[in-house]
Amino acid sequence: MLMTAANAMGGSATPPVIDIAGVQKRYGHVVALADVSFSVARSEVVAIVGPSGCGKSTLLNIIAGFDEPTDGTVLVHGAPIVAPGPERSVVFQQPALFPWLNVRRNIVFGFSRARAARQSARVDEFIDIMGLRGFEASYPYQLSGGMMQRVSIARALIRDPEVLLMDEPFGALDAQTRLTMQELLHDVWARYAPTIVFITHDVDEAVFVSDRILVMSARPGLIRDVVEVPLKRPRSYELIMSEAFVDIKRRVLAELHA
Amino acid sequence: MAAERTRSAQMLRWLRRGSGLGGCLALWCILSYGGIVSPGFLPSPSGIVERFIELAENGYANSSLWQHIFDSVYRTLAGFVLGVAAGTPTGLLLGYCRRFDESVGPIFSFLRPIPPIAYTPLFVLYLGIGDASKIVLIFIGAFLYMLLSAQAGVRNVPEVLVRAGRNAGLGGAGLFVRVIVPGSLPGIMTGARTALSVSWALVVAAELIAAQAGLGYMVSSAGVFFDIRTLFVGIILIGIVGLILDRTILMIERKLLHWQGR
Ligand SMILES: Nc1ncnc2c1ncn2[C@@H]1O[C@H](COP(=O)(O)OP(=O)(O)OP(=O)(O)O)[C@@H](O)[C@H]1O
Ligand SMILES: [Mg+2]
Repeated sequence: MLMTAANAMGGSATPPVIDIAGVQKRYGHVVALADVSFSVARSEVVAIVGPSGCGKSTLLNIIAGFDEPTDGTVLVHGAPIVAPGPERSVVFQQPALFPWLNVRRNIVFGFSRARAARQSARVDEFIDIMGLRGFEASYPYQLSGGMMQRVSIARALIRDPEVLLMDEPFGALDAQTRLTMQELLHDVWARYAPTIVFITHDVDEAVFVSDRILVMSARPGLIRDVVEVPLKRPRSYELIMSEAFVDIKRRVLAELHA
Repeated sequence: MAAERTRSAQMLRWLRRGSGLGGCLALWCILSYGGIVSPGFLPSPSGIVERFIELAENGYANSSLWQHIFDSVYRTLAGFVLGVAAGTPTGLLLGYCRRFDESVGPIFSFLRPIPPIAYTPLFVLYLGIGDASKIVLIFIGAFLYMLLSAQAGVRNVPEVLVRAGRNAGLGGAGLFVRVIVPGSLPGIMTGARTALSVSWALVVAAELIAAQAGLGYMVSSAGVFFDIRTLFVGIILIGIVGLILDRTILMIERKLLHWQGR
């Protein structure tokens, strides 16, 4: 029994971190997800691309534990999801900062006082990486949309979550910052290899960050195709000009337009 | 250059602000000093100032003028503070805890449409015409108002912030204290500001009905004795005190909600 499950995973011996089978989600008459099944192995980076409204956020919210599927099962480490938690850290599609806390306090939100004090050097490090130096004491209303999004990203990353669920995390950023963030994601992954589900509209980004791309279609929300990304890590930005990269990109685009 | 421009812009703004009030005052002067309206109907500005000085020196009906003002303000603030202190947590819990809302909510749905002023004779019967009946009345008014505002405040906390809180591992009491309460603060403060002006209106109304001191009492008794100048002094003082109360709570609101960036 165990062997067949492992075989279905492509022969890998470790059980999947996220296992989704036959998931359906209806909102009244709207079928947001029709029949979605996939699994994500430990330390795998899975990107999800698809047209607006195809159910990407819905899927992520279900994995995060905010929503329940109408039908089907979602297992994390083999057990059903009970509640959201910091081990499955979410970067929301819209910046979700607490307006009454300054940047620094938003980043360490949920930490005990002791943990926040212990991590203070790391918070500083994140503030530098995120280009937020000088704004530690600013409140969200004093930040631009992109800055808010960077604070949200810092908050998700500083928890060293086992699973990172990112919903178009770099959508609000300029091209330059976006690149920095994509490289940061690689750094984070190289440091402790979290499992990542990454939603994006940008096909280049999907290919650059992921090991596998799920291409979704809308109405009803389905996984139309899965494209493997067998590009070696560490990856640098020159990669996007390479033959292999462009090849993968072409296949994803073809699926999106089909 | 820029500083000069802003200074002149500021002066213009003050001029505009003053022009409305100044116009009213000028019209009043013309009506009363021009003899168009009799002083028994509309006293002149100087007549009112004279009467004010008399009242400040000699008091009214066995109490000094300050005592009348103090009584009204004391009753308002005592009832208001108690009402906020009890109504805010109750409303927050009603908004946060569905089971609490289901069991206790209907009581307040029944009480809500009753204008608190309708209780006045009842409380006068129970508690007499002194401070206690007014304080309880205002307490009830402020309590019900704060309950509503806090409950609405909870509903207005953005869902994504609740999710961010739960994602940080918070739930139950932790989520309540660290996300729901601060997130409801804007609604609570707007409610408190309205509740205070409602309380001030309530105290005056209650004193009009039955009291032996207070600005409302002064106005009502001056009316009975056709003392039109005292009536005007009383009304103007009620307006000024109300304005000061409102400005004070507005200042507190700005301090507490500085993070809204308004
Ligand atoms: N709470 C809800 N109530 C009703 N319908 C909903 C709700 N949430 C999502 N939907 C519907 O489900 C579908 C999928 O929404 P979802 O937010 O998952 O799309 P998405 O793929 O994330 O789109 P985008 O790329 O624009 O963010 C949409 O048709 C949307 O109208
Ligand atoms: Mg979405």
